[in-house]
Amino acid sequence: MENSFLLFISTAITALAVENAVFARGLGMDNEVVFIKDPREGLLMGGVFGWVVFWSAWPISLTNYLLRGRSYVMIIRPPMYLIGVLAVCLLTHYLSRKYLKNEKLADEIRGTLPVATFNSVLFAVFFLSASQNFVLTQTLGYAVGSALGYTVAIFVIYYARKRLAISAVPRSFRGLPILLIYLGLLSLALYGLIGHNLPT
Amino acid sequence: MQLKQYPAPHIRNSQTTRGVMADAIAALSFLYAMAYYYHGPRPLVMGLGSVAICLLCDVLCTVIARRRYNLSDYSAVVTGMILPLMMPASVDYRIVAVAGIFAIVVAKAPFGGVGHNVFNPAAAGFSFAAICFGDALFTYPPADLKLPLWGSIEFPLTSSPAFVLRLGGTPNYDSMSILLGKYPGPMGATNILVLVACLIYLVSRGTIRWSMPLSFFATVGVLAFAFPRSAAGGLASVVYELASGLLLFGGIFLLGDPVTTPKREMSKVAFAVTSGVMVMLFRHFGNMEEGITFALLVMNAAVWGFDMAGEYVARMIRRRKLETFEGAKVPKKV
Amino acid sequence: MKLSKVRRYRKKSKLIAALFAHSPAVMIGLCLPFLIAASVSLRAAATLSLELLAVHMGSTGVALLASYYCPRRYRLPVIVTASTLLMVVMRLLLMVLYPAIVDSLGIYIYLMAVNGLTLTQTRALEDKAKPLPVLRKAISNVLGFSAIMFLLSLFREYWGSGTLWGVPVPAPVQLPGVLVPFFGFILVGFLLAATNLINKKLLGLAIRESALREARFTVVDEDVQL
Repeated sequence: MENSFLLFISTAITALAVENAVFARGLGMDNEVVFIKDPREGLLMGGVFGWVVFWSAWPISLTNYLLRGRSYVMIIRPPMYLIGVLAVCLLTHYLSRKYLKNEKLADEIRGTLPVATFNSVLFAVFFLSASQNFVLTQTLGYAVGSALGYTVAIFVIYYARKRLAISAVPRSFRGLPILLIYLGLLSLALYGLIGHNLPT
Repeated sequence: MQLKQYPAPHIRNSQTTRGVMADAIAALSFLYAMAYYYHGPRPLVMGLGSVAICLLCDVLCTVIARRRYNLSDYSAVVTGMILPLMMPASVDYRIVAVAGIFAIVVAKAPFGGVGHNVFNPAAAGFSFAAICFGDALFTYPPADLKLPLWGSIEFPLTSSPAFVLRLGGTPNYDSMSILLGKYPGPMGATNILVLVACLIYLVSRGTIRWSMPLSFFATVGVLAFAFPRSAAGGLASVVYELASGLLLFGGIFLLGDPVTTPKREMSKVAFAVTSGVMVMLFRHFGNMEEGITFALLVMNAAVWGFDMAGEYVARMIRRRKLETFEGAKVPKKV
Repeated sequence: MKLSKVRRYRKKSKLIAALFAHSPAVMIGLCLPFLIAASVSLRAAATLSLELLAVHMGSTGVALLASYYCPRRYRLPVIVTASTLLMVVMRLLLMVLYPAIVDSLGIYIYLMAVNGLTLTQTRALEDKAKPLPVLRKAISNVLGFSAIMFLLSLFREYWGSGTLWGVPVPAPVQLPGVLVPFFGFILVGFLLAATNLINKKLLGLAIRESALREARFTVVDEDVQL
């Protein structure tokens, strides 16, 4: 039990800091994420993403276990992942409609659900878990860590945009270009911690 | 009330940006003099070449951005002088050029030039060069070895005390060698006595505040004492951590950059303490033997948070003082 | 400036505008993960471009059909299912043609199923959309992405590996750091800035052209200069 907990924590910290999906791999840079309007929107995006990736990790971990060692795994795996993620997405949609009393919040969750679900970070988490032969505890830890890391990255991007808005950036660089250069330099700094040990 | 906008550094005394940069150039010149004493004219050629590359890139980027180049802006000169001092004296000139181009074209110009850059250009340039040319940047010629100006270096290169510490060992140098810089290491980072003299000079001139480097070195010292990397442990570990790698050099010349550090005094101290923690984190868990430049880049991104927190605390203190002075509750909007 | 010269320039610049200036990959940062992390060699660029062609065109076809026969709330799952199946087929095909490249691309081959370009463009289709304009736009999107991908890969492979399409070529210095994702961020940032500059120039030319056209048919005040 203690070993499982430590495994969960260590994998979560690896996913959060060392193998951060945004800074280490450039994933999840959708338009909605790059231009959130306020921290509440970022928190909502991170929360919904975390919910979907955590609950999707259960059926996907089972899929990985069942497909281990099979020759046709490359063909079956992506559709099976999609089915698992779709099921969680539909369930979340249904639960928010039926049980959430705050209708405004329920609408916001349903609005954020497509972007949070069909996201390169979510699928990257599961494909990376499969390629590294993670057990359930590790997959859950990787999922939770990635969700936290993605939320942190959303806020870093939000505050970076605010910081850069008050700089005298040349006109051609304003907006997305200077934000990407900023993230590149931050990613360079974090690379000093990670090095060349990133699994693909 | 007329509001005027001025770029950083925000200096509230008679000093000018030109004066601040000139002081930094003077301090760096002492280090180049020591490097010349140990390794011959090669460090000077590296320095001149780096300054020329950085100046050329700065002028080109300013012209492309359709701005007039300020001839009294010595920031590119300072960046050009800092970069080679962080590298071995035996490093290829092309590596210095690559670092200089990256520092100006990527880390400085797109953000708006001097006073607007978010990241320290020298730290960014060195970090990029470290990722591209790791081995060449972390193997050093012996001290007291005169190096040729051109051609390859035929002498065996060794690793520095920073590498030994990373492996958990204890560097085998006596205190006199450490003080005088008679051990392999970055050109401008081994001469502890000269570095301390540079620090005293810059603090006395008002170019940097004493609180920042002191807080930084104190934090590193405490962490090195509590979590020693070397088998020697205790005070010896503190000495080795402070004297190895770019820690002293970075604490004086990189941490003290007025553009990429917070504005308020309390924010600066908090920034310096956090930077010390981050540097030790990178040293313990990082991929490379030298993590100060990477740690500083992360901290540069967080400067805005320190400024916001500092403003909030300053506002609270001001409100309390007003309440005490007037003996009455002051409304929230002061 | 003569109007005829401006017109000739505008015709040439339309291609640049379609490929770069108005490409969604550039304008609003779609497909950024592939541009940032996977543009490390020309062969990788070719592989991903072929995959995107199949996935994007196939998904667009399915989205067109869905716009006629499927309620709006079910379209996204249908589109994602189609793109996933197309990705699986393309991956099998590319494994036969370029196994080493597919292995080196790792998860980025799989992530093409949920690429931002396909999902955003297909979700935005109106009910009963006209097929030809939609397909034409889809083709230009794929070409735009491919052009940018090849540009980035050319730069990164030359300076990072010292090769072009796997063939060693002389380079003044080799910078392995160029192949790391952080440099992808920086390079894409510079490319977007260059595209903004091109956009600005094209806009300036367009304004000048319309001003000249107005001047031919209106009485110009002597004090006004064009």
